[in-house]
Amino acid sequence: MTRRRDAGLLVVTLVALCVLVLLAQPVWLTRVFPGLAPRVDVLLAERHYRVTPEVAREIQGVSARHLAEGARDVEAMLEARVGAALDEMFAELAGRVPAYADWYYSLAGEYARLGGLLLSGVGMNKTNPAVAQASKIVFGGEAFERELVALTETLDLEVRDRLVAARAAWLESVLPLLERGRTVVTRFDEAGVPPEHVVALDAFAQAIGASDPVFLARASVSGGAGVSAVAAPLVARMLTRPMTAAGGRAMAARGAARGASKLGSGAGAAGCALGGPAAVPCALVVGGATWFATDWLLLSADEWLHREAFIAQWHADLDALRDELEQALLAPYRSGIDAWGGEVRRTLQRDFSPLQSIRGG
Amino acid sequence: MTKPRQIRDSNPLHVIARDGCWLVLPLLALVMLTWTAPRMTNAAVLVAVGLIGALLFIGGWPLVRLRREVWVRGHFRADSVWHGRLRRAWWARGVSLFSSLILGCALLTALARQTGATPLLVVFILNVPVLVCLRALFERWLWPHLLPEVREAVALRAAMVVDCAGVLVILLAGAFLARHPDYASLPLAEAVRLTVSEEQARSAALTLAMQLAAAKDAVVGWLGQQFLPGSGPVALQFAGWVIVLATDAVVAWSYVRLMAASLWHAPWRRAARRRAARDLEATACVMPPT
Repeated sequence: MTRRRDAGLLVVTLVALCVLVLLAQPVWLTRVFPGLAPRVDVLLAERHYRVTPEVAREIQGVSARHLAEGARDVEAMLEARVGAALDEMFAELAGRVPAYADWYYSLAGEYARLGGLLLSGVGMNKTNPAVAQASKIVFGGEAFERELVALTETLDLEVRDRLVAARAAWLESVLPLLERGRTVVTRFDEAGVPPEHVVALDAFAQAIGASDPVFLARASVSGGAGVSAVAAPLVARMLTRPMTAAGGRAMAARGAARGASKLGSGAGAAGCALGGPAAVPCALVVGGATWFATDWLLLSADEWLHREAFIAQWHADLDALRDELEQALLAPYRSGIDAWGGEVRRTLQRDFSPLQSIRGG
Repeated sequence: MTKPRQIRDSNPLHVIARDGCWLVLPLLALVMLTWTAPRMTNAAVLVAVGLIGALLFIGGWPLVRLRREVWVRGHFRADSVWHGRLRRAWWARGVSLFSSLILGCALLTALARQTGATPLLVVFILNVPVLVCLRALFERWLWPHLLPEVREAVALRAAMVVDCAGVLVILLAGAFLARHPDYASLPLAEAVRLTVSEEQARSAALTLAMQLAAAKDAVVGWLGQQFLPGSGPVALQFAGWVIVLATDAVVAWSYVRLMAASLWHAPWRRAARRRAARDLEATACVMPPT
């Protein structure tokens, strides 16, 4: 009898413990009695919604997904736009390289470079004529920089549009979820709800739309100064790197050949000695003509031998410059998007923190 | 008349069933406390902490006093002035009361937070059968070896220590397997600020306690994520786990002490102690002095 009573007591104890476990997990209770489920008050754009914690968590998940999608969308758009724009710009630049090669292998170009070298040797000229001419012919002077400025300004507008679209898409997803709840009152302080169950979404709505101009100011490189800071060092490095190597070597080779040709021009001038008083002008004309003819011949030979390689080298350098420029233009946007994403994620976590105090999640 | 009672008391099924049923009451109080804690006012929180602390004290003090008495008897002559002074030990009561209040505060804070992956209250409820079984087991094992005055206290203390270790292991496993917020890209101050902002209750005092506990979680999580296993200073990872171990140990010990206090003051146990005291006195009268 006692043993049976003990067994009964044990069963009662176990049942009581099971009931306590159910009581300790309110999620079961709220499934059986939905009326017991706590409510979350959501504030958005001066409107006040009352929803279940499950709907609030769904809104949180949707918001996080829209944030991630928005960041991915903006980054993909930037990569596509910058890539396409740079492809077009550099195709045009590559088309101008033969014109620059024409100047490079002309007597004018040759003597401009020689003059530049002589003047820089005596400290009177600090600008390399070949670099200046390449900048003028291939890059069109300041036109290249202007195009980059226009590109970044377009990108800024596109980014702003995308973020506005992301905000609109977020609202489109969230509002139907909120409408599942009943709008209680317009003014929150009349609702009489405990403040620990209030989710204010206005900060997130502002942040995901990046209506704060600080984001774009931080992300963008637009504006003449910003683009110059990014593009000018890359262009200058590209212009000085191949020219000093290939151009200097070719010029030295032609200088050695020109020394040898002095004998030929001297021999030609010696023929004028028979001309009497006209011997001096004759010697100058014949010597000069021989000098220029030699240079022209040497330049033509150099062009015939090296022009294709010269143009190919330029194309390779332009390709490398394009890649560097693409990364340099995208980098500030990427860091801006990362900073924006982190900020919005923190805002989201902060806005939905009252859900943590609701048990049964 | 006494023999059948002794046999019935030593029946493990009876002991386990009766103790388990009795412990449903404090568990129910804990469940109610968990539900109501975020809505409590400051005064209600103070009353709750006071009640838990008082229960911990009146349950824990007899064990402490018994241990002191055994020690004093073993070291001091009965006619020494220190014999009486150390047995009374008012300061020891004060220390015990203060530690009980601290443990009560820790228990209420842990129940009010309930944020971990391990549902604390469910662990506490499911642990009750383990505690009463352990107690019955130790009572059975130690009964032939211990003096009658200390049997129950020693069996209860042994069960408390083993049970607390088990609860602690479960809480640590929960902390190890839990998904923690991503603090890797945040500075420590920001991580603490974010975690602390999630703790809200109606009572300012309870909010403060919950925020302190959340700040501890943030520091531990941040340390763990800044110095990934194998890449960071081992001492810092060790420090993080020591903090987790210490705080979980405080919570587990406060719970086990609460349950032990309830068991100690169960009516049939008080009656059994009174009977045992009477039997001892009767035996002392009958037995010739040695």
